[in-house]
Amino acid sequence: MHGCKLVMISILSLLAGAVNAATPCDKTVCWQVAPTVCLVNQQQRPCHLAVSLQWQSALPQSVCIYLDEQQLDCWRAANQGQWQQQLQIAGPAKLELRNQQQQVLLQQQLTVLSRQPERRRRLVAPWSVF
Amino acid sequence: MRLIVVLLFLWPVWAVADQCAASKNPAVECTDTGQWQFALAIGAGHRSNPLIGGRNFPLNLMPDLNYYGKHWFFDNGTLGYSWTLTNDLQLSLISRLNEEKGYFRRHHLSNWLTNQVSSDQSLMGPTQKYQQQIELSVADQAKRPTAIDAGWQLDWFTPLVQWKLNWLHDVSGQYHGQHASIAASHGWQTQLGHWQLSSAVTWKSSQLINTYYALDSGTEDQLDRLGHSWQPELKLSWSYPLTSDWSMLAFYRYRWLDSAITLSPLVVENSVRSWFVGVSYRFF
Repeated sequence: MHGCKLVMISILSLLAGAVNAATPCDKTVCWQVAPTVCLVNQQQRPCHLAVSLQWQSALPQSVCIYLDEQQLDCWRAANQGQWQQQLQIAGPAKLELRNQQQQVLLQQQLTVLSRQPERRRRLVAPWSVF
Repeated sequence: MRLIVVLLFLWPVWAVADQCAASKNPAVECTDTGQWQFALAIGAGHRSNPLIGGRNFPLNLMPDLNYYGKHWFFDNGTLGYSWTLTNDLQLSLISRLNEEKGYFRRHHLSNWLTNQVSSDQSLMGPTQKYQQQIELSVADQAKRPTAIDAGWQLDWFTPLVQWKLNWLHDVSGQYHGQHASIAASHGWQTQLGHWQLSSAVTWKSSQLINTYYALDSGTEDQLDRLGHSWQPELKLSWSYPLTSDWSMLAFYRYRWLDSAITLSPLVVENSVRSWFVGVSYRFF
């Protein structure tokens, strides 16, 4: 029984640690972005994912979020913001939070994974051993 | 004139082109990355041997083996590393065995020599000289080297035709020469199966030709020296899937040998013809 309690405490401690790790904000600006991986059935096909984003800042800031070089949304003199939108990406993409001076405050890579193996064009003729 | 012939062989062929799309399009030769693919074909066929006394190379059992990673690949004896320059352009560093030695493996000059020497004993002069040298060549045929080539290949996938440029040189120090080729191929799908028409022109340096086809590559005698060679070829391939693993398969290839190589007393035919008809089974 005592051992069982120890195990439970350990699991709860780990879970608490995981929750803390998921929302750390000891920096001036933080954010949480989910999901960051998009699954596609076949390679080369565009991938759709509904991205949710939350950011917090210690000081009020005017910031914008960008998908690669495309501006998605902006806030003026805000301490925090929330944003949610369906994105379509064809390959790896970068989500960035930039200030008015276009400095990148935060960056998150979005990855596309395929359920099927990647295919390549053959560079040697089939049946050409002889 | 030679240029016109070359251009005629390389003139783009008709029909619809396809890219290696996400959907499996049978008109494009694509392969999954990260896994070995192996198929075996069984049937009837041969590759002719242009050498005097050369025996045809039987094509009754043919393997098709390839592995493609993100950059590395091994495909039917060619080892390569590719860089994708654009969507339609790939540059590869490749290496493979030189194919010239293959003719000499199926070379049985001894029978031919006995007949020729007995029937031509009365001949004098240069002919006699050739006879003597061919005897030497027969004795030394094992000296035809097994060479390893390495070089560059550029693949350009246009909407109509797949172009292939390659340049290879001897990295094994066997023949100290090089060869290059330009090829165009196109595949299309009909109700009767998948067709592929390919044309190519290969240039082979005089060092390569002399090492394999001169009577004695070590001699400085002009009579025995051969020049560089141009070898155009055409190939038509056909395959028809019977099930997901079994297919019917056939091809015919005709390669012209120019006078640079047919000048050699060892070469008696001005073409190399290959054909095959059979069925193939894909193991994995």
